[in-house]
Amino acid sequence: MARKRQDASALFGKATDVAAEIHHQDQVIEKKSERDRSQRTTFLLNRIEKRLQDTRPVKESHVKELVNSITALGLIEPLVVDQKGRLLAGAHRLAAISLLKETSSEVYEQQFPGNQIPVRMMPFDAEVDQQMALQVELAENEKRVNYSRDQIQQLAKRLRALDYRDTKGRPKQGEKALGPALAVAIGVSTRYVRRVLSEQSQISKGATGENRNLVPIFNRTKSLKRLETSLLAFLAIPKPESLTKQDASLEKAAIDLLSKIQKNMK
Amino acid sequence: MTQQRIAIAARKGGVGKTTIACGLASVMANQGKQVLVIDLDPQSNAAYVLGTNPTAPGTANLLSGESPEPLKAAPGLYVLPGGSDLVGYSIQSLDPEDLADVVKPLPYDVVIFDCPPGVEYLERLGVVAANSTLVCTDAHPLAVMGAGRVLNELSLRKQKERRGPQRWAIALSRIDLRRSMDQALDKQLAEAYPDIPRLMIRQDASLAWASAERIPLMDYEASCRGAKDLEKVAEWILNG
Repeated sequence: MARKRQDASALFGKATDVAAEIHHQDQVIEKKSERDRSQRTTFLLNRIEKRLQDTRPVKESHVKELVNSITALGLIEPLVVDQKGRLLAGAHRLAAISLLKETSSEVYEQQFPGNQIPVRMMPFDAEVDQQMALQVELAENEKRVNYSRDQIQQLAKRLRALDYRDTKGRPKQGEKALGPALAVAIGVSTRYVRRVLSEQSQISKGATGENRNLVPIFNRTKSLKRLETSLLAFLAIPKPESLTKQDASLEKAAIDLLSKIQKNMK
Repeated sequence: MTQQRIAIAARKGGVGKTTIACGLASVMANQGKQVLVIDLDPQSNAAYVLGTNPTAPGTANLLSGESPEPLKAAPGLYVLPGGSDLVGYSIQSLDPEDLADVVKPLPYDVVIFDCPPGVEYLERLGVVAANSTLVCTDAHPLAVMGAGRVLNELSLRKQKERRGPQRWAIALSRIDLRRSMDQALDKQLAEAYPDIPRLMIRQDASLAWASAERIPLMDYEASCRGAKDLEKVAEWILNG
């Protein structure tokens, strides 16, 4: 005998109820993916919007230098954008990427497959929070990531593999100069790059140890100097005639430490 | 005229989204409009159904900032194929409003988004880009469940005043009123969603055959029952 069927509308009713329940889960998932999106690390080139206000005009010569460096090394420092993909910092880099796309699309494709440009996304909307936007732009202009000497060496190695040469003075036609290219890429002076590279070659030739430009020595000296300045400033503060026992002992310790530091720095 | 953008969504698979999307596109192109079907389905069925190459550059390229050439299926009827590129990370990480931004300036009177089953981020791209939406269901509780999820999301978007369609209707697909489930469906939807218009597309072999033979519906059989029903859907889209 055929089985007796349930009422069809009751079945549909159950389905709509379950849809409402699943809807809550859908919401949770959507929120999560929204969060994930705000932490994305690349952005489509043509979706990156120009800055609302340009505080610094784009220098064409700098853009050209950047094109060369991006051709060789890719984009080392990601552009900084807000949540909507508006550019906060990196107008020169963006201009260089666009120029690269126009002039040598093959290299562009290789460095930025699928038009995906590396970005660092800041968690605000520049239109709403203009003050923040300006701060990011200024901060980016002031401070650059400090590359360690090792990292600079690594970059130089990659450039040498791409036929960049450490030549002095102007490169001959067809030659590419390593120093300036690297300097532009990491935002330091050519002089600094050359110094780091020549140190390295001296070390590899066997010149040992006591080079004051080596990172640990340099950092140590810097910290000591800072300590000295702070201690001098501290001791220069006028003191009341009757010091408490604690203050007096601190004063003495400060003087001791200062003299030790000064001796050490000599 | 202002561009009409319609998303065809269901969440559930196999309820007739692509058939309705392509049939509707054929109907509206036949009315003299410039119509573009944007296939958001990784299975890339829309281009196939319309008799064009489903593996040509399409929606994924559009979303990656390129300008793929839509394929011509009939006078005034164009399609951008879907494809497996749509499941890539770069598409997944798009903002839901990204498709809306690239579609707006395209020179078409009507843009129809054929949303995929299951893949919510793709469906959302289409829905957010649309100004009206057809939520498809056939007479089965599983389809009603899928449609219910889409409807809930639509009303939440509107309530939060987010970008997306201002109006939507339920498209009852493959309906044969001789069956008891089909009879109950309309009644139940009217009860559960009293304020949402319901548009009925009756069971029609011509719809299935047009898809299978890869001929746009109005070129296949312009006077079939399915075409008549889809004309009513077009009427709702254009004139509410």
